[in-house]
Amino acid sequence: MARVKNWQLGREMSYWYPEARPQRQFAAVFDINKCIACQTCTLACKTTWTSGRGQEYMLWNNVESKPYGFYPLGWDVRLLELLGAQDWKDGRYEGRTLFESAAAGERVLGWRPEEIDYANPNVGEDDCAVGVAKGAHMTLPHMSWFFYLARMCNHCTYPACLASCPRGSIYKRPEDGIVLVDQGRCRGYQECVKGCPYKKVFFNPVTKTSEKCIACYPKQEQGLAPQCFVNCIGKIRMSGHLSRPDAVRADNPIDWLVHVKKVALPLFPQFGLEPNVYYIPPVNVPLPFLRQVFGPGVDAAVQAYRHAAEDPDLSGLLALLGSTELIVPRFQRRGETMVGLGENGLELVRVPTREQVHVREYANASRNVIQTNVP
Amino acid sequence: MNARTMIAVGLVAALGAGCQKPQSAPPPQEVRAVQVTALPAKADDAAWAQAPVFAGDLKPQDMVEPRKFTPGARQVQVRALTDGKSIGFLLEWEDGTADTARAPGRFGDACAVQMPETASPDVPAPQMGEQGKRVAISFWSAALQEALSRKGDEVDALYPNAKIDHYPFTAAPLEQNPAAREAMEVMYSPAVAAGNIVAAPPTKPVQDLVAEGPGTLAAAAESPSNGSGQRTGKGWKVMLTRPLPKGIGLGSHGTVAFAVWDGSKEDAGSRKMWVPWTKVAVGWSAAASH
Ligand code: SF4
Ligand code: SF4
Repeated sequence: MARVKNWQLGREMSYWYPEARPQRQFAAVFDINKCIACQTCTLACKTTWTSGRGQEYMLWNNVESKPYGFYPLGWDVRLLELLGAQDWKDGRYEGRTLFESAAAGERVLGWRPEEIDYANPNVGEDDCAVGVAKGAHMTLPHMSWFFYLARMCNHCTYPACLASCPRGSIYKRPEDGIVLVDQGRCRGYQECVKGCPYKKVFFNPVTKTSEKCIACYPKQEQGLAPQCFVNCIGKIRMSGHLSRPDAVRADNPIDWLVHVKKVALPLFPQFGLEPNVYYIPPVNVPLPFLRQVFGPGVDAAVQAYRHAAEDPDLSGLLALLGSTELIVPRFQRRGETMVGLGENGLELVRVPTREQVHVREYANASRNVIQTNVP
Repeated sequence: MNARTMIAVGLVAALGAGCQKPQSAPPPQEVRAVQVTALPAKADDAAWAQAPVFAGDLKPQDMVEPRKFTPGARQVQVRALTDGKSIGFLLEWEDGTADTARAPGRFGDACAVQMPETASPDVPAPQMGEQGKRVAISFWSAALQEALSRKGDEVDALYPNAKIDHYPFTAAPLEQNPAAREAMEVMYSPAVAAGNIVAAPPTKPVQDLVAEGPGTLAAAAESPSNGSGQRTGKGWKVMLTRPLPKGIGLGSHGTVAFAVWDGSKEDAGSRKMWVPWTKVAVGWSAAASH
């Protein structure tokens, strides 16, 4: 094992291979607060990439209700149980990662789902935590909560899928950090399925190889965002590239949201993979739960998001999410307008930093009707 | 007592013991490939009986990660025959479950025979060879054999109750155009498009592979190996035939290693039971050795 730097943990850690960061790292920001679980992203991916034989059960992108929704069943809680309770201290992870917890003779601490675990995607759909007592809906705040967690492969900086494969059939593209299974080389040992904590590699029983999200790299090579981003009804997603924390570019939207404002956080950073899909945490969810899922930065992120209206850069960038099919590498706020720019500085898209709000009168006197207001 | 007297005393003692109680020959410490005019085509061919049994001790692979933790069969019984050009091995081992399907979380039974690609006094490292010293592997898989015997779609076989609404390549407009349909189906099977032998429809239950060290297993340029397996009351009986390595002929010695995988123990790749390099006498005859 080599020693590598994992900035999400605030320390070095052990990894199967030496640190080799790509020239650019594909990354994404998802604003969970805006997801409506319409599953359009799931279907956008499904119809684009996994309509073949043996791919019937695969959802490279899925959206599950938390805390009781899973795909595959119990993917997170089963691993958390295996890993055991671990600690953060002052923003630094004091516990063991999945690589550091691997038993002698294993490469990663993991588990492999059975077929039945894939059979009911999102089995706890819309089930909320905390029972709803009689009359509870009449009072505020509501103590019952759930949220929608949209998930795809995290194209991790330290992929456990890649580390698990004894054949080196999984590779990380040096040009953009996208993690791919070499379909010519894979022999279907399913070690990656066991190793990936997010369960985002799938064994295809017809081709006998493992398959996973390819971050729509043919689109990205043309400067376009992946299908699940472009088709997102809730406009919760933005794709781009994330710089290392020591080389942050403050005019890069992803860098700004992740490194500068620190409002977008990795999913289960304690696993140690440095995942590259960053989530703006759901503000309606109790903080102890969120800390376990998104790490210790969650308190500040929730606060920042709650005050987004006071920060035109943040509200402007949030409005930029999902506003164009193009990848937006730079941004510049011009007064009340947020402008998305290309690498060459040319304008790609512009949005108002605050959405216009128009309140209609409840009673329309001229038509003599009562009308419902729809935002 | 000089050396000659010692041998004489030893011989007398051995003969004396033989007079008192007939002793069976000790089990051979090498694989003895008996010469035949033609190699058998089936694992239950009576011709295999003429070859002595070599009992190979199987041990869990514990040299490279991931290792094998749940030991499987402890012994593989090997018989070998040769026609001077090719060599055939019959492997028998215990395995209570026939695992013939590979699906998410399901693994198949398998076995393999490994020999150096070229004979040399300096044998490659036993674990998949080493750089510049390539090994050739004949790999039999129960799942491949099952796939060959099956008619129809693999998804239907694995999940008989599955209902699939639609595949893009089964759309009505493509019905009249089989070439376009096939081209489209391949687009949804990237491993097939990439020419991966594990994804191609099998023509036999055996794959020819080469390796130059752990993790380097690759399809061989040619695929001369053959084989077939059958269930016994206790496990598997599998025959594998392959050309003799370059530089090995009748009357010479080669080197061979064996491996078996137990699907019910989630064996695959390096998670296997194996017998390291063992000598193989090619064209061995009982008469000549006495
Ligand atoms: S999320 Fe899983 S499949 Fe994707 S790169 Fe990370 S370890 Fe690999
Ligand atoms: S398309 Fe967008 S809003 Fe709809 S489920 Fe997916 S992530 Fe959520």
